[in-house]
Amino acid sequence: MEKTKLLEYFPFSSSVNPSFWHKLTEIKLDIDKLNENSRKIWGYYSNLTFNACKIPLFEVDSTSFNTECNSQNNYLFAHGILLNKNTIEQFKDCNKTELIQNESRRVWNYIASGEALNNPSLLNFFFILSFADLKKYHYYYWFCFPAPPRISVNLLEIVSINSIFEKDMINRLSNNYQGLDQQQKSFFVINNSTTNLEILPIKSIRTLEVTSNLQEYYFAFSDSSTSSEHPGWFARNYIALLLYNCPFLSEKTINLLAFRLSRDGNEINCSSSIVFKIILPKINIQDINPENVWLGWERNERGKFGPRLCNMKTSIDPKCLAETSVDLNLKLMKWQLLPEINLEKIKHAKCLLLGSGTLGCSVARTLLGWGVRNITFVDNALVSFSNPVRQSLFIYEDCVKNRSKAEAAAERLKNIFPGVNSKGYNFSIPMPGHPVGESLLPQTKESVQILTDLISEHDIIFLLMDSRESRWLPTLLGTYFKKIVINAALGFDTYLIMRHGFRSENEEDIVVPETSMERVKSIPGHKLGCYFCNDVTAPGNSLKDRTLDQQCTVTRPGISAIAGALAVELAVSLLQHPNGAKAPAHYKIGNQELGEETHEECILGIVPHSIRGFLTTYTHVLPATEKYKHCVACSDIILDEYQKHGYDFLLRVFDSCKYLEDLTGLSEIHKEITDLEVWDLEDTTDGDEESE
Amino acid sequence: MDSTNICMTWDSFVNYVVEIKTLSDELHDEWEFHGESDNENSIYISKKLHKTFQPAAIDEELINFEEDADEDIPNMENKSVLLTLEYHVAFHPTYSCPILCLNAWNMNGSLLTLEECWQHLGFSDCDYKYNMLTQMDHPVLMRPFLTVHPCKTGDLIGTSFHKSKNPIVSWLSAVAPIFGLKILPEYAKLTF
Ligand SMILES: [Zn+2]
Repeated sequence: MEKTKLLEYFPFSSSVNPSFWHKLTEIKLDIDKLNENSRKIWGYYSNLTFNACKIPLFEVDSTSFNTECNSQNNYLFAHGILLNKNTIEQFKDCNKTELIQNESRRVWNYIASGEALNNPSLLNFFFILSFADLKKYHYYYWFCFPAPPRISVNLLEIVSINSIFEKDMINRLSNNYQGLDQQQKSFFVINNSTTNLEILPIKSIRTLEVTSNLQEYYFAFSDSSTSSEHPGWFARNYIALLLYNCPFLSEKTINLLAFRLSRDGNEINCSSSIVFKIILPKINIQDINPENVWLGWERNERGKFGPRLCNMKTSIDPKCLAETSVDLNLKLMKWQLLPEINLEKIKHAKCLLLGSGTLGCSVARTLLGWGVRNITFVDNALVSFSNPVRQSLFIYEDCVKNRSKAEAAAERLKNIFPGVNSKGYNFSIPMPGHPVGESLLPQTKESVQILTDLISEHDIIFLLMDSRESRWLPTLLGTYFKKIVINAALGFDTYLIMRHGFRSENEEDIVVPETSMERVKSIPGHKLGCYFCNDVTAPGNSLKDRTLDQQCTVTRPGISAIAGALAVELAVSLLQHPNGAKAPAHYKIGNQELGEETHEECILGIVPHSIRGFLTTYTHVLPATEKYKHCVACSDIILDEYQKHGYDFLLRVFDSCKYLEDLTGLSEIHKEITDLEVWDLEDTTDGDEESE
Repeated sequence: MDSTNICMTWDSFVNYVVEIKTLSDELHDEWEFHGESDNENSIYISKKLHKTFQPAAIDEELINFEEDADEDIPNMENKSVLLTLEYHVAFHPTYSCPILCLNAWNMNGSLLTLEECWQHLGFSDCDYKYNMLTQMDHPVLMRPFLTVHPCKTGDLIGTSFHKSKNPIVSWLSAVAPIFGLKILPEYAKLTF
């Protein structure tokens, strides 16, 4: 004779809907706070085989926290308890044996009190031990489905329901089952003593007697298992209930009907159900009460008895959501329009904004739009009452509180987008021709040091100040450290955006532009000029000369937004150019428009040397100019001098701008030019590269 | 026909999804109906699918929580890991049309990223995946969901399904299968 097998039960696999963690977070933060009381929850399982899912799922979601259970469709519900601990230590150190004993007493009481006979769904019991780390949005959890130990059930035979009942019987059974009350669905009895199969509530087992013909009864339960060999986990509690109420069933053979649903066309029927013919054991009922430790902790993904962890940071933490959304927006642009674009390069570019006024605010906002994460402001002014209406990062309060513009701007950027790493530095940039008195020497030295460090640490330097002289030192340092330098300056209704030439010392840096186009010339990146290259005077006297960016510039209010945006777009184009800052600039000779015939220089289009805009005619011109060998800011003479003498050289320049002119040979040139014309951006016919 | 983009009203949206839910219950098709009685703007329907795939890596941190097995819970060698896909049909007030959202999560509740979803839906090599599925806030739950881009839905309903008695069924039958959700042919009877 074949050796009888012991019946084994298929445990649940817990599946947590993300909405469960959302709801738990909400409840913990708003209601429970530090309260560690247990909370009643609902769990759901099904005896309908879901689209080929072979795993007996046990699900919880946001509705698990509802007071009334509202499971839909073919879900059955289970009564649960959530034990959410306040600390990871309490979660780890709590006595698991004590815990399961406490919780299994509930189930035992339902059985012992007879409550479970009236409402058999009470046998479907689970609890979750959890800890929600709401700083990291990490959720530690461990499901437990308490069931009595040591009930050895011998399995005799497994029979399909189809070999027991006729097809029309099965159909009727299926229909009658659908009509059962939700509470009665989980455990019930089928009696086939009459010609009609009869579904009886579980409490009918009270009427069973020693003399009852057990073969006429099918002890049915809605089975979560889809295994052909094992019934689902809650069958364990069912057997305990039967033995408790009908001790005479010991050592008897009974039909355990695993009631399972499957889809047959548009119908749901129970023809996939199976009957386990089993022999119930002879036990002392006190051997299975909760004083004996019950079983039921769920194994984790590795098959070990241990908790699971869910990291929800990216889907719950609002800061993460903001970052993901910003990046996704840009990725959509990449995916849909610019598959070649290197977004990481833009995201990680460190941008230094010298000046936090109208231009600084506009540049910073556009950088945020491109997903730039590192933005540093430098400015020496405080927010004044006229600022907020034009300078988009400031509010009235900033003026009242006399806040530093650089610091206020940096903080406001974080308010707009917490994912940004923004800093503000409040100091003045030393200027040529502004002698430094004895008392200010230490401060000047410190400012030079900070500026030097900042420029060497950043990748893109934006010159956005409102004075011409203050651009000199950063132009020199930007060239010296080989950074991308983008210069923007405003007139009343004109603006200039320019990228400075790249300094090259070796042949590798030199990118010779290819241009076979007619009437289009180009200048290699290392030969492009800087803001000062077109000047024949050293900075330092801008109050006397007419310049674009003299102090207290009056501009049309829309200009700064346009120019700031163009400055960023030019920088981004340059970043995307395969040669970066060394990219050559094309310019037209004759009447054709640049960009029509030129091949695309980078995926975003052309990378001009400068953009001059005229609001009166709503036009742009894109001139390119060569580096001037006598330039007071970017010429080799100046850079060599800075390299040799460093701060001492700078100090001499601060004392007198004449020194710059002498050094570069401009003084000589001055003697030759009788009528000095100051280069002026409003004079559009100036410059030999343009021809309008 | 001037009806290139018929705006669906909220009321008709509700009528259509109630029809779908009612038939779904008859067919045991597992659509769920959501909505709070005190807030009529909170109505949407959803349906879950499950998919098994390769197990994920285990968090090392959890190993020191594990306890030795001293009980007889059988380890059923559940090597396959389950993915849940949940589809939502909600009303988008800006586009005045139904939208199809979906989220996919692992058994612990952690969500799949947009890229991972493409992979599971077999879109990875598809050129127009970006136009099809994007991330938007769910109009009722106000949480990010992967969403079938609604900008064409109005057009589609206006031009192709304007004669349908239940345009949501017509639209879903056309669109949802692309995202792994089959609509039973029985729903067609709602459209004529
Ligand atoms: Zn220069």
